[in-house]
Amino acid sequence: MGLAGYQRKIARIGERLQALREHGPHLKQLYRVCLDNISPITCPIVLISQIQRSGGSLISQLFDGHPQIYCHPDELMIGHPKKYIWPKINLNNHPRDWFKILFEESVIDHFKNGYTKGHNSDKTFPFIFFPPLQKKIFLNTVNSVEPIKLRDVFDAYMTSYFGAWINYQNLYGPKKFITGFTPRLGMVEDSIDSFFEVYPDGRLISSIRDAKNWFPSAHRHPVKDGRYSDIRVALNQWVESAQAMVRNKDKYGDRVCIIRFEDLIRDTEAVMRYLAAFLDIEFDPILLTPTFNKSPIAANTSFKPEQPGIMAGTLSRYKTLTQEQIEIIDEMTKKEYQKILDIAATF
Amino acid sequence: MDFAKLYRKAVRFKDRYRAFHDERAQLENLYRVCLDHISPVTEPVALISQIQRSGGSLLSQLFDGHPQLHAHPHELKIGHPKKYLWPQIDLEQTAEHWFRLLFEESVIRLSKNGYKKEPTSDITFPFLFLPALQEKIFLKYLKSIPSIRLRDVFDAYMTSYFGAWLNNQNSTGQKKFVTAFTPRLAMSQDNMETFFKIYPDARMISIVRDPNNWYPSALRHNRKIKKDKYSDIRIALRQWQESTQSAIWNKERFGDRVCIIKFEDLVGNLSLVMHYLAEFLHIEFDPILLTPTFNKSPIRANTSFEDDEVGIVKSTLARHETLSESEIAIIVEMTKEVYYKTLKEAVVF
Repeated sequence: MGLAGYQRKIARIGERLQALREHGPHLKQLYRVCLDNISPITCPIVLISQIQRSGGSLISQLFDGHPQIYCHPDELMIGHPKKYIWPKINLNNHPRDWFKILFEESVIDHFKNGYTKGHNSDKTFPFIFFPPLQKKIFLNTVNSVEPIKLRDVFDAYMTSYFGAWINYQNLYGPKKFITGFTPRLGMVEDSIDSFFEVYPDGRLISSIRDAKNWFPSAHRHPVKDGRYSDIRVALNQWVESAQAMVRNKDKYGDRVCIIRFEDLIRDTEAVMRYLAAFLDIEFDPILLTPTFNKSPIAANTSFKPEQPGIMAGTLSRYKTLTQEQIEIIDEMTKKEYQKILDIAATF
Repeated sequence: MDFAKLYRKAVRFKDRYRAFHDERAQLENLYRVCLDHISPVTEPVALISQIQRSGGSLLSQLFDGHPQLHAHPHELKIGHPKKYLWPQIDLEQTAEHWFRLLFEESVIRLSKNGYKKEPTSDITFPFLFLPALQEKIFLKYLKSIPSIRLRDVFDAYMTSYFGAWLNNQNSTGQKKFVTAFTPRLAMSQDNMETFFKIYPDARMISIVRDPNNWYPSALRHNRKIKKDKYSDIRIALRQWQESTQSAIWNKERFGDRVCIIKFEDLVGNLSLVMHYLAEFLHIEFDPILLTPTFNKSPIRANTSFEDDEVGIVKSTLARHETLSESEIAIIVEMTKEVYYKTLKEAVVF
């Protein structure tokens, strides 16, 4: 072996030692490769939104894994100052400030502890996500656009989110939409106006759950502020969500779709075929199984049984109601519910 | 704001600070997450092997992305001391020693520069892979096994390989085989005996290319490689003969576990061949089997000629047109007999 051969061999041994070192500059290299291979994401968002406990995260998980969709895997929390307020981006500010507003802190916890569905589940799904990489991708993407429009900021955010999610299983292939679920955002008129201003090609899907099934689920749902413990306070929120659906449908017409939670559970295939047509994507059997990053997951139920897939038991929550509760629900929601049923998709 | 709330806020700030500024903590977190979620890869290997320039990497890329397969994305180079020698594992040695033997150095370059079909190609596919993580997974997996058999060492290797490949687009779902391509490995009887001893449930696919098409491709390829293997037509054809005879021998020895495919069928009759191979591996036919991909992204063919098409390059069937009369005569003289024998063993479409 000549000198050049020895030099190559020594260089190779050096590289091998470096690569196998526990604390080598592995992340720097990984970031560089990711930054050299940014895939811009410019497709519009399909926002799934209504009051909690109405099947929003289920719809989001049914979209997960569809080859024509980037599915945001958790609640989309870019809202600011609260997650259900569409963030206002001032284009005169520095891109770092935009990132600070949009950044979803939940990724830190998911990377640390894995993604868990439901509060009592011990099954976790690995979520490999590097916030510093996301920031770098965001800034690089924004800096490559001149002049910058509001939409570019959100496109850069989505590009950075899916670019920094290292073990994302559905990166390639032509996509038509990003799906994201944010409870309550659809209830705020200003937020929806801003959403459609940024995404005129966006879509809004809202799911309405029969209040008699909804209230027992909401009541059991563990929230710190006890917003559903009083039946009348809870139902006022349900009514507010229902009224917002009517308003959104009136204002944004064909870009808005309302489905019944009960249809989604009872006839998942018909509803998902309808939603595939609504989004102009191919029907794919993966639309029938709730998944996280393409792995099947258990339902996020406030009740006990936990099995992967769709829980038919969610349709009989009303059986736990007292006669008095049924009467209050009828009194407070009947009119709004009928209005919604008139404009919801039928199956 | 009460104390508990303040405390939670402080913890959140600390987490956020570490997430953005503490690279070491990020790396450790990554290791922990991956080690906590090891998915054992215990499926047998479907080995693709024969002499180079016969469509091995094409077939390997056709399997890539199939939901029931773990597809090794590059040439499988666990061979030792050469890549075409099946590695001999001494169970008396340590796990660290086995890892050193099996470790594929090519992942270092791939993870640094990405995967390119050709060095001159301007398309790079990112390959996010941490060798240090691979070693940790390998060691942890083996630690979980009370009495280690030879197969466990290879299962540990495959588990560690696919576990350390962070952006693998096909890691979920029920798998039936690990597909991998190593040129020339099938040309040694010893290799194949050891391979099937470790993987009695394995499959072996060999592709035979008409020497009239093979030789021009090998000759052109010779200019791109360091070692002169194919410039002398007789030396080149002797290697082709050796590979083809091995395919026959493997078929006779291992029967239904071995399948011989004609390169010309693969290129000219892709759908039929891939339907057949899907059945051979007991996997569902999926349209992704018809497009060569790297980590589910379509790639161009690895041709020695100037074609620049995505997918299957049909002109590979007409390489014989570049041969001279005397070259054709030598090819007929040296390969006719063994080629006919192989065609009898090969699948007919």
